[in-house]
Amino acid sequence: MNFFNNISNILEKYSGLLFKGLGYTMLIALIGTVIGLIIGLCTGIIRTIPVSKNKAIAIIQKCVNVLISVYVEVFRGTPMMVQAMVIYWGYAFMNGGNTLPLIPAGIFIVSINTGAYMTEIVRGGIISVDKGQFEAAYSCGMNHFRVMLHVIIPQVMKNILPSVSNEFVINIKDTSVLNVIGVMELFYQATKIQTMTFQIFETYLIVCVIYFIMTFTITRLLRLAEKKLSGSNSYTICGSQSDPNAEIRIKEAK
Amino acid sequence: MKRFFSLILVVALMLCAFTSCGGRDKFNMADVKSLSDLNGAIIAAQTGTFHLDALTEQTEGVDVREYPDFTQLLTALNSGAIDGYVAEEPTAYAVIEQNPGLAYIALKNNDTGFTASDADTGIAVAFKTGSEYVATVNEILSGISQETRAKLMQQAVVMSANTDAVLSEPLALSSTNTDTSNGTLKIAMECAYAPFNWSQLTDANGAVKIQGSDLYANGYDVQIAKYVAAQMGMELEIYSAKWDALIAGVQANTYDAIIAGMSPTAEREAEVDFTDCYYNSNLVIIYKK
Repeated sequence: MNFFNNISNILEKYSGLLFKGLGYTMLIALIGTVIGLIIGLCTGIIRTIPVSKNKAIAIIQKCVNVLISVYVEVFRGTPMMVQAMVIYWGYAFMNGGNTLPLIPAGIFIVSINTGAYMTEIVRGGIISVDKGQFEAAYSCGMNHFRVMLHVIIPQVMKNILPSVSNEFVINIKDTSVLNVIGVMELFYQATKIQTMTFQIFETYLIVCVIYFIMTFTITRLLRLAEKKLSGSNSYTICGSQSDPNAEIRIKEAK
Repeated sequence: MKRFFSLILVVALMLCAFTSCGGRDKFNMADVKSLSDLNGAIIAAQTGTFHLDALTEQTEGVDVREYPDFTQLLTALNSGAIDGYVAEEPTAYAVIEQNPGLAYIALKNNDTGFTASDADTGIAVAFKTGSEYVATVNEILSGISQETRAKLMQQAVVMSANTDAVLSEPLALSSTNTDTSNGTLKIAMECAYAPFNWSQLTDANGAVKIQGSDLYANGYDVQIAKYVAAQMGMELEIYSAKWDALIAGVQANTYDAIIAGMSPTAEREAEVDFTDCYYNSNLVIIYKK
């Protein structure tokens, strides 16, 4: 019974801190994922530009592609916790002790880290779109950016949504590493609460449940969105105004 | 035949599992009178402290463990993972006040306990190397008598046991200087090392708001920091940082000073400048009764 008492005491006394931590965790994870996705889409579009016939432009393209590869490899190949320490304290040492504001710093670190992963996810998404789509769009006279914006990216978005939602869930959990620089997300609040209550197990159990509720809700919501995007399973491919029997209908498989 | 062997294998595995489940024999800490009696015990200390160095170098036959913070030491002790841990005497008072199941071996430095210099077990304020504040702070600290220090520590222990309860008497140390025209003094501490410094939800008993947080810091270190800042005519700002980040923060000018129960050991002296000690204590060992 002592155990349940401890749990309810922590919930009662420190719910303010827990809610605040939850809010910051969601804020950082959400904005980080969205900015990461934008970075991924931009790099994806830039990387797939056909090599220019102009020698000078071709060299610039090559350099930009190398830069993107370096960015992806460095940020995918090092732990986010280490990146957080390097960026936060590196900035402090370079600027005479001024530190980055914590929440924007957290969002920045999560964004560039997610951006590196998203670059690869978007690349995979673009590759998965049939080559005929590109060829058809180019032959209509569209330039690369219009092809991407109007033809490819809408299909890519639908294809990569499962990976993006996966990335979002990973980000919710990974914001916890930002506690090393003192960002007040959920895990950080837990470390603070445990120093006040000295009840490690109870505190982290509560936080564990909160994290699970968050990620579970998010996965379910995004699953719904995926369903919505993939549309109805029953539809008509070829309609006929005169003869209803000539219509080709696809029915939902039971 | 195959079936027979697999049956024997399963039984053997289960036996292994069961025997490893049994708890280890508890080391009888109550009988320990000196360091040499610790042979065979599992003792822990906080990573990066003199406590850990002393434990490793000055004991024999002790299974030394280390944990990154104070709460984990306490949890490890309560769970039975360790037989005891090294701490300063004031910490022992505070811990025992809150956990009636614990007790401590009152070792005396350089006598029954660890061999340590004043620099090893005293605690001092740390500034960036070459800081002109060291002399000023030394002067302020020398004005705090031994009686005041002992009384303030006693009050800190009482306050840490119940951070919401208001102390019935005024704090032993307070400054009458209200002028804060000399700028701000940024002080870093762990805010998790009662009774030296801890976090609490209210500003009871003269606790100071932790910058960028909803929590308040209080404790012996906080009261010393308040006094020092007030005497210097500066406004006090308290920052909470991890133990390992304290020295780096001062070197990067993020904080002006560390007041965190930190001992001026030779290794740290090479990184930062320390003032004179503002408290001296014995290293003791906390154990479960």
